[in-house]
Amino acid sequence: MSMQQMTQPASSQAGIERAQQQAQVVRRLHTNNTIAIGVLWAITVIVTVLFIAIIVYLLIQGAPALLSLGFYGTGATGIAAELFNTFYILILTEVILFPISLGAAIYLFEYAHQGPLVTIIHFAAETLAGVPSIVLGLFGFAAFAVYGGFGISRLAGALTLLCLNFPQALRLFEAALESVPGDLREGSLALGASKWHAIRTVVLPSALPGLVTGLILTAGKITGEAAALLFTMGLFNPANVFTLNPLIASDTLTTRLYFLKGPGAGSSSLSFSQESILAAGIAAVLILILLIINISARSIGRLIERRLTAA
Amino acid sequence: METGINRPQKHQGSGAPLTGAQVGDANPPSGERMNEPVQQAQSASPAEQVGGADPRKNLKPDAQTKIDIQHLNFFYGSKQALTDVSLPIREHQVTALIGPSGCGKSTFLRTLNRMNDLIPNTRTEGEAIFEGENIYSKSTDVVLLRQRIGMVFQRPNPFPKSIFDNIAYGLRIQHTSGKQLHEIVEQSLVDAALWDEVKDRLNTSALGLSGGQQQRLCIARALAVKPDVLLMDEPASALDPIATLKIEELITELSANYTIVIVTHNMQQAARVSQYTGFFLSREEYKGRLIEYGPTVEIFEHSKRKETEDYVSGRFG
Ligand SMILES: Nc1ncnc2c1ncn2[C@@H]1O[C@H](COP(=O)(O)OP(=O)(O)OP(=O)(O)O)[C@@H](O)[C@H]1O
Ligand SMILES: [Mg+2]
Repeated sequence: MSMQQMTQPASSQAGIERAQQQAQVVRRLHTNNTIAIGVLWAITVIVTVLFIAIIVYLLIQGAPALLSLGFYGTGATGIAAELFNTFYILILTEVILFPISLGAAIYLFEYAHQGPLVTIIHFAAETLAGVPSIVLGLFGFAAFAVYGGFGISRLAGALTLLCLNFPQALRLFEAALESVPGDLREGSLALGASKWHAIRTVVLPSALPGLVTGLILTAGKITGEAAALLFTMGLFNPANVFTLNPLIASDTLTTRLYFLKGPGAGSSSLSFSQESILAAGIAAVLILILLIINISARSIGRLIERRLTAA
Repeated sequence: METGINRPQKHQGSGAPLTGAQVGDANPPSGERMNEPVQQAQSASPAEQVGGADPRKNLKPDAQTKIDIQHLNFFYGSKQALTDVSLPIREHQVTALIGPSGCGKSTFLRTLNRMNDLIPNTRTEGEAIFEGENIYSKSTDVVLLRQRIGMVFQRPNPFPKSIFDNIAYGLRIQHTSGKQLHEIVEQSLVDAALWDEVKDRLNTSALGLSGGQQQRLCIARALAVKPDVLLMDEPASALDPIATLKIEELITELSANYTIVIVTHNMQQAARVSQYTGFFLSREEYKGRLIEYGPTVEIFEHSKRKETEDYVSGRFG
């Protein structure tokens, strides 16, 4: 529209008026644009500052604990057992979660007839994703600890975390498969590959950045989860916690933090200030672990992508 | 049924003497025209181009039928995309498929290696006899079929792997390995006119190649498994004129050993590379019909149908 007006001769009175009108319109467009940029910039800055402030605050609060040696030991003010348990439960859960959700994603996206059944499965997964983790914790207690016979144990906890994270893992893995161009599948099949061969040799390698990102994002969620573990994994450690036995109860960094400042406050041999320092230290460690997980999710995903597409 | 399709017997009778006479007449000017810049060559009318290009030299009126398609109907769900298509694909000849957008050329091409199987709710009727068996039959082993009938796509689709692994991909499926694998990879790259450009970087990613190189890589990849038939869906549409000419030369060379079916929107290209041409048209009354089929020269210079004439001379919308 404007281009047309510009090409018209502006010699006549009408032409001059139209040019003025147009200048006004354009000026308003620019003004609106400037305002929008300003507002968005302000929001971004505020949110970013807030995030950084939270992280810095927690790290500073945790500094006294982080700097004391006893914090890394097995004593009353140490978190060695909880660190071990946190990574143990993370690995145990991922070992079950990754193959199951990747297999389901491959089946649903690559093989299944895209009909009502697939829609129902997706609907169910999305609904499951919305269930509060405390509710899933109750379910996990009933299903795995009691009915499954595993008792309150690491295994019951891991299975509950599996239910909690399956929907997200499924969605992330399906998205990773979806991001592989159909051209590549056709190219492989046109060379006489079977469908599984095409998936194995072309689709999965191309989807790898997305798969790794999915794996690491769920790892972050598992590490940070507390509510689902309260009823399924317990709050206390047995005498010998540094074992791979999946059938013992144990706590993690998050559940220890919960107990320390929640139901267990004042009940231990620690003074109130010792408790506070310890809690702040655990919070700082959790933040650090999640930071590392998220940063590595990005950089590993990008690294693999570059590897695959490198010239 | 009466679509004016020339069955083989017909044009062998009428076509052979005619083309034979014209090859001699049209050859001298052809040399001159070929040396002109690309732009000028492309602005020449299709009919002149046919006179100016080589392919009629390679026309074998007695070529055997490699794939015989009879009464093919194809449906996407309830929507018909091809109606009663019958034509022969001649051995060691280039068959060009032309027609306006959406007339079913790609659909037809993809029935020949059963690529449409990947699209849910599609249905194929009729038959395509390839080595005594019906391609469309349920019992056809599509994996084997696709090893025999290869395909090059419109957009180059190299795998995100090294150049070597791309070419070796189909061979490894067939468990070729070791020295033989290396030899075939090299030979395929030579055949696809890409060897000199990539021989020093075989282990770098294929995605680092230019568009034209990628397309030749895809051709080499298809050649490596030694198919009998090569299907090409607008293989040069994403390429510049120079790269296009390279691909065209390549197609002409390959036609000595391969049976090639090529879809193209470029009339000059059809005239330059093909010996036989099929013209498709889709109308409200008939979806995806083969209006005319015959030696390229006849289609471009003496087409029997007005629709064909209008289309090849650019009078079609
Ligand atoms: N996957 C599909 N599902 C439904 N309809 C389709 C599908 N692919 C193609 N069609 C339809 O079938 C008809 C023929 O399409 P086709 O792609 O074969 O045309 P074409 O001749 O190759 O066109 P172009 O020259 O634009 O590539 C078109 O009407 C198109 O809309
Ligand atoms: Mg097409």
